[in-house]
Amino acid sequence: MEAVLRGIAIIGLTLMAATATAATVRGTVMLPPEPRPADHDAHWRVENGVLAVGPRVPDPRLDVIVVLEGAPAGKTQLPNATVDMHGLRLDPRVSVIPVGGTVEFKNDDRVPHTLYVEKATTLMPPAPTPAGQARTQKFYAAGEYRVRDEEFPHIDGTVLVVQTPYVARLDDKGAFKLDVPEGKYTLKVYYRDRWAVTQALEVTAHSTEVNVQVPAATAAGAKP
Amino acid sequence: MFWSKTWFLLVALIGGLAVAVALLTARPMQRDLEHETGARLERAQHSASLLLKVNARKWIDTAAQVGTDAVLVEALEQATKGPADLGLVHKTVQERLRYFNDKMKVDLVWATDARGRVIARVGLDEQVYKDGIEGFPLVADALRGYRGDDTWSLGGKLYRVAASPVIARDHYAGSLVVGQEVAGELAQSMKRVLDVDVAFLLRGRVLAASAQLPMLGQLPLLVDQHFDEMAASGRSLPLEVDQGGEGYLVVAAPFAGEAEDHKAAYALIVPRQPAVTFGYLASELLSTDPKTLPWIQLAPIGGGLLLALIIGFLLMRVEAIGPAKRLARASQSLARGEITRLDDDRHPGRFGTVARSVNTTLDRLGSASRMTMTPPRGFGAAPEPFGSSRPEPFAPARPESFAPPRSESFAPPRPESFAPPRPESFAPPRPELLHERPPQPVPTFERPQTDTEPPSVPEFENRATNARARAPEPPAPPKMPLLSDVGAGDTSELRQTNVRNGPVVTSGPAAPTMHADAPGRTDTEPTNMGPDFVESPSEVFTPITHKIATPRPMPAPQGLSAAGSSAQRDPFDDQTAVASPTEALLRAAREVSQVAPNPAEAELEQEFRQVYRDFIETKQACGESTDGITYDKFSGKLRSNRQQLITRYACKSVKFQVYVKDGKAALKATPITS
Repeated sequence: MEAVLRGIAIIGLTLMAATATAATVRGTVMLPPEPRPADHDAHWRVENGVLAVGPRVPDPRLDVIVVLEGAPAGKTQLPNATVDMHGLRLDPRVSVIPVGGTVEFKNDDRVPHTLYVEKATTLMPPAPTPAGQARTQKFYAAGEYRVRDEEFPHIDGTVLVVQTPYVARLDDKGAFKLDVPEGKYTLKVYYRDRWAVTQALEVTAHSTEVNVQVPAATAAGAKP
Repeated sequence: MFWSKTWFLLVALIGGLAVAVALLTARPMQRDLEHETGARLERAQHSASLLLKVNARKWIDTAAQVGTDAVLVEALEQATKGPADLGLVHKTVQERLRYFNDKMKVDLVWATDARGRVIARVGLDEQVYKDGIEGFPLVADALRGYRGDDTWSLGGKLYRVAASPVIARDHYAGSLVVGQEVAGELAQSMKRVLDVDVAFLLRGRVLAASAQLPMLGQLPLLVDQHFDEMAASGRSLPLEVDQGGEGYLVVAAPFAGEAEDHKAAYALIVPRQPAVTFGYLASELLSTDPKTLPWIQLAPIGGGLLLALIIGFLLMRVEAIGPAKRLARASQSLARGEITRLDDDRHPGRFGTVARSVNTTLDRLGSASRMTMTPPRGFGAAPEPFGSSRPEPFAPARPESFAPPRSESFAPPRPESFAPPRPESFAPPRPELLHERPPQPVPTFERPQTDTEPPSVPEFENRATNARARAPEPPAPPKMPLLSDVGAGDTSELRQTNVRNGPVVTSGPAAPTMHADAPGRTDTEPTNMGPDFVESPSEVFTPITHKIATPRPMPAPQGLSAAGSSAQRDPFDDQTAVASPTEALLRAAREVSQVAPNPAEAELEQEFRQVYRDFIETKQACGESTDGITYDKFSGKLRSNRQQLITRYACKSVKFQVYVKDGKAALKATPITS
């Protein structure tokens, strides 16, 4: 009889643990209207008058990162990231790695790129990366690192170093999905070089739905 | 003079105030000019921005026009689809781009497919294609339908680029990019339009400039230091740069577009305003078109200045020029004898003081003249007192003729010069002097000249003339010969002395009278009058001292006062005073000499004997010695004196008279003109 009770308890605890792992967070992120680009704004930017202006390429939703912070330690870590340099741009523009993770920058352009981390003194100093070669950089602290190119000012990307493994990107409809244990988290949305949304989220059993509206960038905020 | 002085003082004060204001306003004016220069630069920068913007729009339109080419559209559409032979498409597009670039003359023309892949290049990196450039925001925007412009920093060069989408019916087939390098040609073009020097900078170095200015080396650092300000406000404030002793003002502005991150900027440069000085103002005024001067504002200033001058001139005319002219006219009338005094009431202020001073002098000299004038002797009426309104031959024509009397001067007659010879001076010589005087040397006088040989007549005259010319004092009158020299047994020297001294002309219309004063007289003779012959036992004759003064100077001498010089003064100067005869007197004498021949020698000899007898008798009567006095010597002396007087005064004859002066015998020679 004692052995039976011990078995029931183990089964029960196992079932409880299995239930917490299976929680899913689903949601959508609604972006504000596309602002007029402020960077490198020259004298003129006018529509052609023949055809309607097409969507921005690449899709800005690809640069949106959703993370849930507050997960218990011991969970699996994020993998390292790879950034391709082609078409005189970084792809993806925003990369997410765990603390201590590395980012490999591959130069697929025909010209060398001299990447560096903005506002950093020793971290990733400017160094040319010839065409066809790659450069790997390790990031030891959580934070946002903006990567620039000395030769092409328009080239810039962001490396997000986070301590949580729950990171998601938006699909072409702006939806994301995260499988997380039940518990209380902080939902953060990174958009256009800033954490545009930060809100508390309690994940319960089964599924949790969340819809996030990214406010338009203010003048005091980061660039839109 | 009060008002004219006050007026000119006021004008001077106003002028000084104006100069002070001009000096004090130089610095505000300097600041205003520098501010104006800075504002000019800012206006130029605004114009430059508009110029670049308009120019960019032209490039956009050009790109759009090229992007409509059907060949390009078809080729780029096929390239976008993928299956086509990209090499063939590349050549097709490149040829087409070259065709257009022959007309556009731009530095780069790029064509991309819809994915941002370069299909062909012309101008820059022509051999490269298939690489993606969709990362350029300009290209990305063009691929989605925008037309725009930008600035690119490629390979250390700065390009102004424009892009336009290539439209294939209902979709975008690619993009077309045209660009022009920012170089010296653009700088020169902007300079022609803006009238300022232009320099382009990129990544801390000067790309090109319209002129090789020495300050260009400082521009990168200057732009780097103020780039944040430039990026925030679109341009910098006017910045001062000094290089090589020259100052400049610089306004820098960033190039709009991507190259701004590479600190691409253009700088507009003008020389700093030079220091505001009078020279600068004058040069600016001279270089200004007169039509642009503010004549309306300048008219009151010029009018006021002209009015001040007119008022000053009128005041001067009323208070100075007019009274001076009146005083001059009155003085001329006084000189001509038309008036006897100056009406000092008619002359205001200091001119009245001058008139009163002249009147006072006239009064004093007139009184002295009345006291000392001698009565006429054979030459007409007595002279008028000094200051008389009637012009007399011997009346002074100029006030300086009335200088205070001096013993050696011609001009002022000494009182004794006009006095008639005193009868007591005809004392006869003492017999012992007439007959027993041994030959002795001529008494030594302190003559300034130490020549052993007596000078000739011209030499003496020249010396006297020169001496007069050197000294400012009136000249000493010429001396008559000393009869005592006759007794000394040296008749040649005596004659030369007589010739040297010359006759004495009396003042006034009276004929010149020669006096032979007895020696030793003590009336007014100074100590340098010569030796006292009476006291000297060696003297036979008393010297004949001619004391005829004249109120008028000699006709020709210059520097009459030179005789007053002690260095040149003759010891006999104080004993003889000769005045020049008047022109009327000389004319009358000449007339007489022409119609009346000289008297016969016998008559002359008889006259001389009579004079000799009278002289001997007079000396004896006076108790004087007549030793050594012989008729031959006596008559020789008389002849010499007579001839000298006749020569000098052109008179007909000379009358010698013996008289007693101071208890001693003396001779008086009187020229006879009729």
